Amino acid sequence: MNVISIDDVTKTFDTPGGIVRAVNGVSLSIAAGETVAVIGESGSGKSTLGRLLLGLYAVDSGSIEFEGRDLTSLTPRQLRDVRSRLTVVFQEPAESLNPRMSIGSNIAEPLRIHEPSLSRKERRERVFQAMNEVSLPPELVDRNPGQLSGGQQQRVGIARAIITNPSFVVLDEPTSSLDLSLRSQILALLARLQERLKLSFLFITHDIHTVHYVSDRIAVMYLGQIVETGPTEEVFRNPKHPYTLALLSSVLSTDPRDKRSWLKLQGEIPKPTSLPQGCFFYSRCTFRHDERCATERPPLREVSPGHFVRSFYELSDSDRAKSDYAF
Amino acid sequence: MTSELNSSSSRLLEVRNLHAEFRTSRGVVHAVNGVNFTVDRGELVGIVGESGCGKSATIRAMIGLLQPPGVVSEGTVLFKGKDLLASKRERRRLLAAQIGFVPQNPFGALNPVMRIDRQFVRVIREHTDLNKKQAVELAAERLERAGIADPQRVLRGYAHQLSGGMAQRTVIAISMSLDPDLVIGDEPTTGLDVTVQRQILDDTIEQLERDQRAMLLVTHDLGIVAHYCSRVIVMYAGKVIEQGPTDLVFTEPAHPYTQLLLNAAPRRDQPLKLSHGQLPDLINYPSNCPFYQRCEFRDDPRCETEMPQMREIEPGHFAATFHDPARVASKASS
Repeated sequence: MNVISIDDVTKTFDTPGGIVRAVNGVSLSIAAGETVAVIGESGSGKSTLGRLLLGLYAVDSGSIEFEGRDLTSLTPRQLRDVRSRLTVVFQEPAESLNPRMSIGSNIAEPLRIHEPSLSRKERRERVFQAMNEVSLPPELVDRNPGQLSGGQQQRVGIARAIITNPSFVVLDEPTSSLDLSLRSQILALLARLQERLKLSFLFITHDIHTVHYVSDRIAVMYLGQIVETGPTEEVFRNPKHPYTLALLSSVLSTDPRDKRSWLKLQGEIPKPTSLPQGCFFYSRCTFRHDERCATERPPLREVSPGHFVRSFYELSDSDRAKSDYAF
Repeated sequence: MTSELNSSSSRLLEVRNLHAEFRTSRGVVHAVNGVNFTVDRGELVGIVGESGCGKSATIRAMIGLLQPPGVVSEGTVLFKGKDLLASKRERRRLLAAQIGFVPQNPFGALNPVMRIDRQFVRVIREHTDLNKKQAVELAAERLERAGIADPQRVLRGYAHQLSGGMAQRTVIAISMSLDPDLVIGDEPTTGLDVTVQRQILDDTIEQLERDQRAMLLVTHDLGIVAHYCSRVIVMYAGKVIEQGPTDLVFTEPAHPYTQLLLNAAPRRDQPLKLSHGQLPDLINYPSNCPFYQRCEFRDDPRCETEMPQMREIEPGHFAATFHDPARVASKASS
């Protein structure tokens, strides 16, 4: 049963530099209790996708169905009601909290909007419950965000995201600004909450180690398109798209005995204002092999159950071996 | 090997007993507390540790780039035998000409209102006899070496026209334009995309290795150190708590903190290992082991009362802990 399904969603921005196609025909569904990670580099459209799901941007075309309702056709008021079930945790906890409000008021803010009939006492009760869920000591309730450590601030952000009993949470780089040892604490907390509260996650990140650890499925984005998606283990073991291979093989292991090289890419991601005529990855691809690559846009094809690839060329075992790739 | 490393001709940098502090209204924050290390010609040395461990403060203190209220309170920093801390003029002369510095944010390092070619020319002409035309030619060559396909376009443009990756390549090209013997990077690729990060590191380090030059790289990314650095320095609470060849330190960590850092990286095949506690108070600096509060191995009575000194665990591998490192290593690999 899907909690959310996105169908052929497109979003463009009119900028001084030209029209930016930030999200270009993306389809994706997330089941109850599932974590789908979206990975990709800057400009791949992953954060725009997250904002579309939250209703922070309106789609140009396509639909987003959440718990049986099409978000793209809701009135602002209806959308506001939905937002108690569909919440977000941002990357910079310090920036997403109100520095002038106490921790308790920050956490209670969504309740004031979504459950205005609660009494002060009931609200306070719920705040303590949420703080308990994220292992924040109750005595912090009257402190200000500035008095908390980065890890504690992120716990406040998470408490605020779960206080309205959501079914789906967008995690937008929730651990990227944290040190390694704090990162693992927050990841463990998210895993525990997911289990206890039956949450679905869309995990947006560029940290490939984290993706591998937390997600059931992944979607790799490049220039606003999903270029490969499938079960995490399958995609990590058998990346079929040249970009996925480059991305995954660029990750450096902490084992100094591991001297593997990587599939070195040329150049950088093209400007989203002037998209290539053919495959979006053409300019950086070392596997381009026929003229269609330059002139046609490859469709997303299913190469094994649940594993989809958008490329005319499908990497083989020997391609991966040549690139020293093994996960 | 040891005698070769110790010979003075190959020694580029020697940091001795470096102390730096931030004099704030809350009190004196002891950010760098008696740091010692060396860098030899041809070495790629990584400095790792979490935020607040003093790694950036250390290198900024070394080259006089500590922001107020930060001050160097003690120590010497010998570069080819000359003390960088003794003379501001000497330091300015060496910085750029013989020591390149690459900060984390390239847009902070580039002048937003000056064309890129003029920024190169200014640095190059300050330290050489080249004329303007020759300086621009050199700049183009250095940009190309740094992996920029169309150097002329970059040279005639401004910083804001560059992507993050291009801007960082440009800063690297400027900092390496005079063939410095030592390049110091302060998280030079943090914030860049992984594929771009790897391209830039590959290109930069290939250049350095070819010419037997040295790099001191501050990063929180242990993978970068494991892959590129021959030697690693681990810092905690403003002290070097372990150092040695990367192969040894990362496979057989002697200090419990190094072990904790290595285990904190999420790995698919292992359950997540959690760490607890945080840095000690750097204003009221502890007189015992600064890692005491977080340590799993604190069973030696001295842990609570004395400051452990660096000792040689095996040739070239040092750690500041009272514990039998064999226990840490065996636990790390289990």
